[in-house]
Amino acid sequence: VFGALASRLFGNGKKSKSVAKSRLSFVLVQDRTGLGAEDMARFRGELVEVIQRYFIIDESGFDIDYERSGDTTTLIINSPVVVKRQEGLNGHSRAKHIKPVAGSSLISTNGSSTTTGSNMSSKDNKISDMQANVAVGDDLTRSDKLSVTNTAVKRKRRKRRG
Amino acid sequence: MSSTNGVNHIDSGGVSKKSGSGEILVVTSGKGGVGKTTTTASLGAALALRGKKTLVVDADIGLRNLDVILGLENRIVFNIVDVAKGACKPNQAIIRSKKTPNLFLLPASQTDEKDVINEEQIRKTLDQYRRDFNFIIVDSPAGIEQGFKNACAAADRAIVVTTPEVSAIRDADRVVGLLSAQDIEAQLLINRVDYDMVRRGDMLSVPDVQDILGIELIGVVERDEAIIIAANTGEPVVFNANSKAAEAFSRIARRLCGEVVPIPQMNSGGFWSKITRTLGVSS
Repeated sequence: VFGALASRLFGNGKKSKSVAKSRLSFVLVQDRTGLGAEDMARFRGELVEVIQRYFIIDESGFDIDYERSGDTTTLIINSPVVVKRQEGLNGHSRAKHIKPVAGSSLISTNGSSTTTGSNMSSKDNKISDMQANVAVGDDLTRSDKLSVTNTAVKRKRRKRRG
Repeated sequence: MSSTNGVNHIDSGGVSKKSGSGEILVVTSGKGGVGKTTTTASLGAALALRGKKTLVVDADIGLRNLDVILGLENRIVFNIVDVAKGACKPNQAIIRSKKTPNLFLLPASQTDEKDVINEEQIRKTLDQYRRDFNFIIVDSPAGIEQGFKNACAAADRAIVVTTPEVSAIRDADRVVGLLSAQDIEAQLLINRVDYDMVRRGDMLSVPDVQDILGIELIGVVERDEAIIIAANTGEPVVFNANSKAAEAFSRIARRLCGEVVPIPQMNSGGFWSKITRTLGVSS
């Protein structure tokens, strides 16, 4: 009881409004794209598979998110990439798995670079967070744009906030 | 008033001189129970009070309700299905409000099925009224089936009513998509906003809802007990001078007439805003 009271007083608890907002944005994407939960699960699985062909990722940090404004829905695929897939000296991957922190992937990657040895710090091998934004048009009625947008702005903003 | 077209008797209010510009609006929502009928009745009454000759149309065939909200349930003789099927003349089916001479109702049929008339019949039926009214507001049934399609058939523009709730917003989004597919411009009315809950973080705010649905906002109506009281008595809420909802609907009516009327912002509810509110120095 005290905990509930405290979270009410100090605003620690997650407000039901933000829950409503994220549930809505998820369900509206399903409505607008016509992809159900099952399709989305398959989409996610296939995406992970493709990305894993090239990168070692922390699958637990893989996240598909949606941002809507007006009649454009942006699909945000967030995948913490540990290192570029490469053979180490002993013949196995030198990836070090890191725990992804939402919105602060750059920080966690920096953390990993300090612990994975000198050759890992080369720029080519280190990717912080792969993020692809795809603007999805609505159910063919409102717009049918399909574009891939640069994510640099978004990532910078997150970094500053972190 | 001249009697050139045989419907002169509805001009006897003598307020509207210029006819023929009649604009048809549909009030719709997808979800039921969000306030479509209240909105139709309130906007109709508010427009009528502003001197606009207004016809409100109940397109919810089989489940009519606009008549009771307007307190006109005892005066129905013919209905929209009769007009569509030629069983009566257009002017025989409309009922004038007791409260304001500029407001008329075209009731729905209570005994027919929803698909007893089609979109083409509705379009023809409502087009006949255009020349005699400034505004024709069609109250759509809930859902997105034939009844909804009929209600939208003649519409020039739409008001999509939602409340700040997940289910209502989801359905509104669906309806916005369907209207857009038919090239009907839609504006958003957010009904039953409780600013105390918004301040506590337990209700989606007006910008939240607007952001999610991404269409232009025509108005915000706060949750107001006066709405229920008005429905009890069958007198549209706009006749209640002390009601916040009445003020909101009147502002929306002015916007429909082309006036630029700002939408009042939620105050922060903090110490200073309470002080200024108490002192009447409202922002």
